[in-house]
Amino acid sequence: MSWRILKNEIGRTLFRTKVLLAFLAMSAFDVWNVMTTANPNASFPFILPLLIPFIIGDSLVRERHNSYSWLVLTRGLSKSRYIVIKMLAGAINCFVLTIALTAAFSLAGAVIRGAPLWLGNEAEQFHPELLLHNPLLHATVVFALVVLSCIAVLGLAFVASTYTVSPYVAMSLPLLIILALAFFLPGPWQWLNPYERIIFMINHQPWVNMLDMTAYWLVLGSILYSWAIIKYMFTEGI
Amino acid sequence: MTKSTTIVKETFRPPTVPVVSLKMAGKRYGQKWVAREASFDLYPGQIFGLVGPNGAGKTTLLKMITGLVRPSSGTVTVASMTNRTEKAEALPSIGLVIENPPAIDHLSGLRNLQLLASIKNRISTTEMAAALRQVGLSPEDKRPVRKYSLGMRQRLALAQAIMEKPELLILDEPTNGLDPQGIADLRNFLMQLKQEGVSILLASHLLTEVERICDEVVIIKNGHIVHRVTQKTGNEPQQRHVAIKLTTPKDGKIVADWAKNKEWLVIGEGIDLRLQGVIAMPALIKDLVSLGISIEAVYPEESDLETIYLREVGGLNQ
Repeated sequence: MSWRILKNEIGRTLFRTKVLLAFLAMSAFDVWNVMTTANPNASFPFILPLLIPFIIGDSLVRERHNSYSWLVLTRGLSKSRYIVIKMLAGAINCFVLTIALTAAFSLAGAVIRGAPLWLGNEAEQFHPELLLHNPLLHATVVFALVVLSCIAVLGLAFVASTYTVSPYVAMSLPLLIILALAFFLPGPWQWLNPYERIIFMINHQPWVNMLDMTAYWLVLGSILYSWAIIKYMFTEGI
Repeated sequence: MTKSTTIVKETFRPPTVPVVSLKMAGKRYGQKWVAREASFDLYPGQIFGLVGPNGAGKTTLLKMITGLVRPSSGTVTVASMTNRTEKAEALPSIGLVIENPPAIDHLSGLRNLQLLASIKNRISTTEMAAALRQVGLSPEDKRPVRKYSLGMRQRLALAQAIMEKPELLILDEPTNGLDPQGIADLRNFLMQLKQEGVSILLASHLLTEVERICDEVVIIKNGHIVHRVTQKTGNEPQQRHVAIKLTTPKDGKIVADWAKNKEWLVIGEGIDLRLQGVIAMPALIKDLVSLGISIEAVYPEESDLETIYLREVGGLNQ
């Protein structure tokens, strides 16, 4: 593994102006949410899966677009390693962004309300017994679900990146696909709809349980990442 | 069929084993051939030029040579490996400069080199700094690359290409954004690398520069090599184009038959003819007079690369 490349990939994505601006905007919304809502539910960490392709979804396609990947691959880094580095960096960035937003939300709660606000405080239906028994563990599980869903949705951007060299297409296609599925998937197939499973974290729909959610995002993520890797490996060029 | 022209220049004598060898190599995407039947050899210490209009297939050839694209027909051999894949272990030492050189914008020049060098992990920071100095950049410059001018980015691209002392240097439009001094520096630098035995493949639209430094040049049009220009020593017989204007059309046939007997290429008919071959002007005029041909004008045509290029690519015909 080329650690320096991985480290750089994480740093260059997180410290881009657009990422910092997006983070600041989402944090500001969280603070506003804490200040103005009776029962704040940390909307923005939960909606992050919908936004993540716009924020960091161009990491692969950007280098295909400007041919930087040609330089890297000609130096001897294999295509498989290259895409795995990109994906690993993407997963780490999802984690960092979620934790940063959660921290901003909790900090805002601590400062403004005088007590920390745990993720899912207002969402008992996630797992009421766990919430009552151990709110911290409950919050951690909800946090993990958000990270997992971010990573899975980012997989859509990676798949898109193997079909296009336009960063704008790769960044916007995942949301379009998610919305298209939400609108056009027939009723019996709606359980496949990722939009409902992202929004559920805000809507607190009672029919979704944590095990089902975890399995869904893991399977969807595995399919998308495998698809992107196979497509990239069997596509000629950069 | 590929035509060829020899331009008198200093001698290049190729060693026997080429670093890059293309034999009837072609690439097809769907039904469209973007490169077809390309054949040439690049030897150690040789500078080889690829010229052609945009979209002619130059970049596809370069991608085949760097192993990113597999040929649909023929073979591409680089450092004795034929039709390589992009696998790391199969890659020889290649330095690459791409048009509109990409870099990591928030890093300094030296940090960019460190990042790329970390893939092979073969050279020290001192050697990277030396590469930067060699191209006229300062390793102490801490500014991020986004603040570099296009010329500085081009120099940085050259530094990353040469820092690991490659056997093969591939340059795609390396003069973009360089001022005249920068172009002269690049030319001298490439000549120096050539002396050190580095093989250089240069794709450029700057025909005068290509002509000046390349030992061999191919002109590519619609994926085909349509003309090959070889630079040879002044002691060897010289290929040239000669234009002849006659006063009567009937003489045209006589001249054409006579020239064909001499195995010269005859282009045109009637009173306007062009001859191509190893032609000595005084002997030609003498022979035409002795044949009783009524001549209005005989003059050698320019056979510099630009003229040949424009003729092949269509500019002069239009």
